[in-house]
Amino acid sequence: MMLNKRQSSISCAHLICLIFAGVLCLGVGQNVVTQNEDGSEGSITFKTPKLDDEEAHSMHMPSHLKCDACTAIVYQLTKVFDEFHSKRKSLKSIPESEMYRIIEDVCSGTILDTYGVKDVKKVKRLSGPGLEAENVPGIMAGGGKWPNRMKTLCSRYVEEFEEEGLYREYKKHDGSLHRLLCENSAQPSLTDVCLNLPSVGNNPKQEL
Amino acid sequence: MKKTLFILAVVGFLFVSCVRAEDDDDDDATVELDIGKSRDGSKTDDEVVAREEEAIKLDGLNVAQMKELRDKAEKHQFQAEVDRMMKLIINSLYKNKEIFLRELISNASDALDKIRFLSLTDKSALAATEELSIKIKADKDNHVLHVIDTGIGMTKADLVNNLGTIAKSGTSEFLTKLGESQSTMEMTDLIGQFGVGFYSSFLVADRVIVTSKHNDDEQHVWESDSNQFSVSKDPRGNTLGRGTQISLHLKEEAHDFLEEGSLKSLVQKYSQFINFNIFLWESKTEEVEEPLDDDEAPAEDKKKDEDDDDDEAEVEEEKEDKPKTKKVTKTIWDWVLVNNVKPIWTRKPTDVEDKEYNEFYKSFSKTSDEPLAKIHFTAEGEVTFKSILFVPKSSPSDMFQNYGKKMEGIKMYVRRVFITEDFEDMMPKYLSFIKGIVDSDDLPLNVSRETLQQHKLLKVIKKKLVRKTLDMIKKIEGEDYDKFWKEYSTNIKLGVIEDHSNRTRLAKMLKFLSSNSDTEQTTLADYIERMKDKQEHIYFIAGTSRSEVEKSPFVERLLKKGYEVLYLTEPVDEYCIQSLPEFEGKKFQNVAKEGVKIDQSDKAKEYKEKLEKDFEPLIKWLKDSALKDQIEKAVVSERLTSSPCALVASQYGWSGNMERIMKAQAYAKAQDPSQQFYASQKKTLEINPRHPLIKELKARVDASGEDETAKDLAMVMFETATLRSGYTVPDSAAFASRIERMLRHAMDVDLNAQVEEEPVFEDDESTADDDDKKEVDADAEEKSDDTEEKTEDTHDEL
Repeated sequence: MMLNKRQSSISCAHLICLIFAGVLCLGVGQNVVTQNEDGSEGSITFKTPKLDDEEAHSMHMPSHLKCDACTAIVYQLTKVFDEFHSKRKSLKSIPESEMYRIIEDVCSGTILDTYGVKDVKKVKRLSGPGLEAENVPGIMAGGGKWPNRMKTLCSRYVEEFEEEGLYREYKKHDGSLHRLLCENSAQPSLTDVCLNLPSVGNNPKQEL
Repeated sequence: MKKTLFILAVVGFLFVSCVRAEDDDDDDATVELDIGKSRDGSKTDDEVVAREEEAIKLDGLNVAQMKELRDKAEKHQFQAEVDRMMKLIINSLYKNKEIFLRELISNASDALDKIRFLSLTDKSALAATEELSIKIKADKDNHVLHVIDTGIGMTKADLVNNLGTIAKSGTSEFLTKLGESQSTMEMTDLIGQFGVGFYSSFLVADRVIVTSKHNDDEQHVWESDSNQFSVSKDPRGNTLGRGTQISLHLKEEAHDFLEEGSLKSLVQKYSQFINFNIFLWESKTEEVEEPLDDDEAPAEDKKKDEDDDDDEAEVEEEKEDKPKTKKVTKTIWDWVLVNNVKPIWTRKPTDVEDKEYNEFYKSFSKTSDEPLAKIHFTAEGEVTFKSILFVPKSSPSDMFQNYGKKMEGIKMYVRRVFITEDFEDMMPKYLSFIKGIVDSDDLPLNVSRETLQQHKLLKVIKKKLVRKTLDMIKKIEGEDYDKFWKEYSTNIKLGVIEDHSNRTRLAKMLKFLSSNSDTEQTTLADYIERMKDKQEHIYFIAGTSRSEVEKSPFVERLLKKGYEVLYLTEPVDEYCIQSLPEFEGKKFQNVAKEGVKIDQSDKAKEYKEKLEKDFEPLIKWLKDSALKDQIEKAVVSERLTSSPCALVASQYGWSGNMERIMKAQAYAKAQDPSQQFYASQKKTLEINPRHPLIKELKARVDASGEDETAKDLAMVMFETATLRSGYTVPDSAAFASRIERMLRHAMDVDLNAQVEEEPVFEDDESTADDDDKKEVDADAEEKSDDTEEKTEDTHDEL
């Protein structure tokens, strides 16, 4: 089987990076699959997700992607906290200065640059580390406004809960951080983004 | 037997004499050594005398005492590391000599802290003197600078150990770091950290004498020329009482440090907030009435001046009401307190009165205004620091000329010693107007820009400073907040744009004009309070002035229906609002863009659908024929009341206001590809189905799609809408000629009527010689006159 990497029109100059997911799976989303008669050869064409105006141009994370974004941020924060603890086993809790530094790494560094949008079962989803769309084949449209949308949202959570608050929830190791940031009704359109979702399977890939 | 005995005796005698002879030889050798020394000593002695004489003047030692001192002095070599380090310091800090004073004062302050601490448990510690102070005295005649403290002092052992060796633990680390440090700045930082600040004395002095008296020992004198040092008991006895006097014999190039002015400014720069009083021996001139022909008194005074140069102030005054007096200018010397501002941040906020804060603010910021707001707090955690922050009454006039370049608001102290005020990172750019101090005991004294910038604790301090600053601003209320907003609104708006990690806090401070009040600005929270039940969005419109946006076609129907609209009239406003995703869950809607949905009831929808059906031919004609390639689409408007039509940007395109601002940027390039995308976006033409002109247009188009007047009308209406919506008309000439044509129509002037020719007049002054040329000139003139007249006409008519 041959993978035809023919890129269909890249609709917008803002889509800088296109990332191909590895595993092939026939007949997903808008992607086109062709096969010769004996099935010995064929091609799959993945199309870049077609973005609407908001997805392409807004400075902010579109509402329908906020749950994925929140989940990704929780995943990355948990990851850096975990990493710190596995490196510095003698420390029971992260010193303030280190905490500021590693949270800043997440919210302002390059960690969140790897996220983009991908068509999953005809629904647009964010894709990247810690999200279920990451392993779904297809083309992810990243770059452009996505990194900044992720970073701004990340900073917004830090502003709301402060470093100490995020870390405190993380320390409970029972998914509290995800509940605090993404699944409670305290702050409309900020912390309730994973509540009352349409049942498209928007559950986070893993409970953190 | 007797013979044998005699021989033995002789041998024995010989032996003894032999030994004695050897002894003599030894003595001789010692003597010879002494002689040798004295032989070539004539030169040395001269030097010693000269130096002694010099020393007499400064330390009050006479020749005999000095000789005694020298004779009894124990000579020491500096520990190898100290030697290396001194050379390193001297060679690398030559550009930043002035820090020596900061270091000496800081050492003095530490010594005072120690004795004060001791006195808490042992009352007798202060028996020698109750005074705890630092005194600085410049001896201009001998080029000596004295720094005297009444601190704990040093015993002989202390002198040898402290001023000749480096504590083992620090030595190797220090030398490694010193070797690594790239810049002078870093070097400066390192000195204080390792307690070797004292050696920076050799930056400015070629000889340093330290006299010190500790409670447990006699007074001793340490002296060094930076190559070796000697310590001896002070022949003068215990003159200091308690403490240390450091006398620097300044190098010639450092004589400037003897000037009162430079000393004073150095103390104020680096050591203003040292806990102990710092006095400077200062002179001032005064005019005094003196009796005539009375030479004795001044002479006596002068003598006294020379003799007694210690603690007591000498005020020369002689006021006798004799008839024969004259005015004489006299120099009066006295100890003057230099650090008269106390570090009030070290006290509890509850113990400090407002008046004290104001005085403190005035003195450290060098202004005469009182601050608009202040906050005084202690932050605890990994790094403990105390801070007082102020909002000045007025913003610096050059704030935005130097936006982000000048950051001198926050002064950084470590243990009351000034480090720097030049941290780029202490406050974000938009808060650069904040003034204040930060003092931490947890940072090394050596910190300064380069090193501290990277210091991880600085990040913690910075975060907390910003949050506390915003707390302070949040607490400003009423009239004071109005004053604050008047001065700093642009800063806060830029903060919303720049600082995502405080965006929501800053958004709560924003105030804008709105249709709710003619004069008062409103906060977003107040706007939300007044929102209608089913209103989903916060409506705003941006433009150059209130009168412009109030009359905008976009707000017509909203205002009529009683919706409140924010008027954003500052250039930064629209960008600021765009940076906010929402406020308290409500999104923002620019009323000049797509997406305004006012009436959502079923009946209204039905009515709209009917209108859309009626107007479909017109809409199609506008998009495909009359305004082909000029608009994205035409739609029946929901927002217009009295205007016939308006041009609406897409939700993420540029509004007219934004386009104007972006094009006016000083750094904007023509045809910038990153902007072209927005600038060239086609807009939506919204038409008002109830407007007579639109109705007429509809009627004409329904009759015939080829009606030229209808096309002209559509075009002019489109162009007018472009202008009214805040955009520029790209082809102004075509626009003008269309208007002219319509005016001719309106006034029944023939469309083909020509402009009257201007008569040609001969130029009287011209000579016959250049007749030919003149004719050409006249022709040209005629032509240009022609066009001028035409444009003038147009203007008049307009």
